[in-house]
Amino acid sequence: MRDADQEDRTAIKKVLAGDFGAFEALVEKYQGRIYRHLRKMVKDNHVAEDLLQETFLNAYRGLRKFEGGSSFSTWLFRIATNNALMFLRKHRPQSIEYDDEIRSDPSLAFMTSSPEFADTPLEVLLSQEGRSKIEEAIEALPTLYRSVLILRDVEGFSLSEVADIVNSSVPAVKSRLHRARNAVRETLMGYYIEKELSTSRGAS
Amino acid sequence: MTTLKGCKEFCQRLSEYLDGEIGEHECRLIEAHLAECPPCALVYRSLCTTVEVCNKGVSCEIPDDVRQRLLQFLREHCDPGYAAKT
Repeated sequence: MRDADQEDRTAIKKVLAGDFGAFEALVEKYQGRIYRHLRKMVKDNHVAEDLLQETFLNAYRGLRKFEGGSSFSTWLFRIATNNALMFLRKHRPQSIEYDDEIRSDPSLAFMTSSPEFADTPLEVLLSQEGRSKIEEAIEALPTLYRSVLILRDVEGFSLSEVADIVNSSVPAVKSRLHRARNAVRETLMGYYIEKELSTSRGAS
Repeated sequence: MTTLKGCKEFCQRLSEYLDGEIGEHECRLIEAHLAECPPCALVYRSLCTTVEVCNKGVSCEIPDDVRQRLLQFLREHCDPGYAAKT
């Protein structure tokens, strides 16, 4: 068991024994990651804040039901994901129902790449402008693809943990992740090809 | 035994390969193909870059006022003894 999991279990025991300060410490530890996940899922600051509050309240009220079959962080992300999906189903059903398939782009079926993107130095890719392009590319993904990519590639959960959080199977997660990563790759690639072209046009 | 034919099939497996989810035999096939096929090696490199920038480039700090309101909300709504009740 990971040290972080063990620490969380110790904290949970204290909370269940009536120590609210131990719960506040768990909130402090996870609020940033949960907020980011919710913000990426619902793409709205105010809604993300409401869902953040709801998620920790649900976690507190359901803590006795946390059985420790998974880690606390996986359990907490599952509550947050369910809350976000419930919100989206109720208020933006089209974003879930019609949004679940990435457009079938022939270039995704036969993938290509370009040196403009693959060889761009990391400091350029992670510059302020580069970061905003990454955010845009991720935001453009359909909800269910976006959530899987965020959980795996941003939050670093394992594939089986992601499957657990989104209540899906590992093969389904792998398939969504493959398509999500390639859609982001393609968007970024298009941007860096265009950038290279405009630089060379400007230089000539 | 798995056989992979052509660049398209190799590319379809690169995401799983990157996650270490591919069996040893298939891993060797993919590595041999990447070594001899520059276009697929470029796709693989760009996929690795994509995962790396998603990992390092996505920020979204929780604003201080959101933190404060969360704590206030929880103090108001969580009965401190609730979790201890059976």
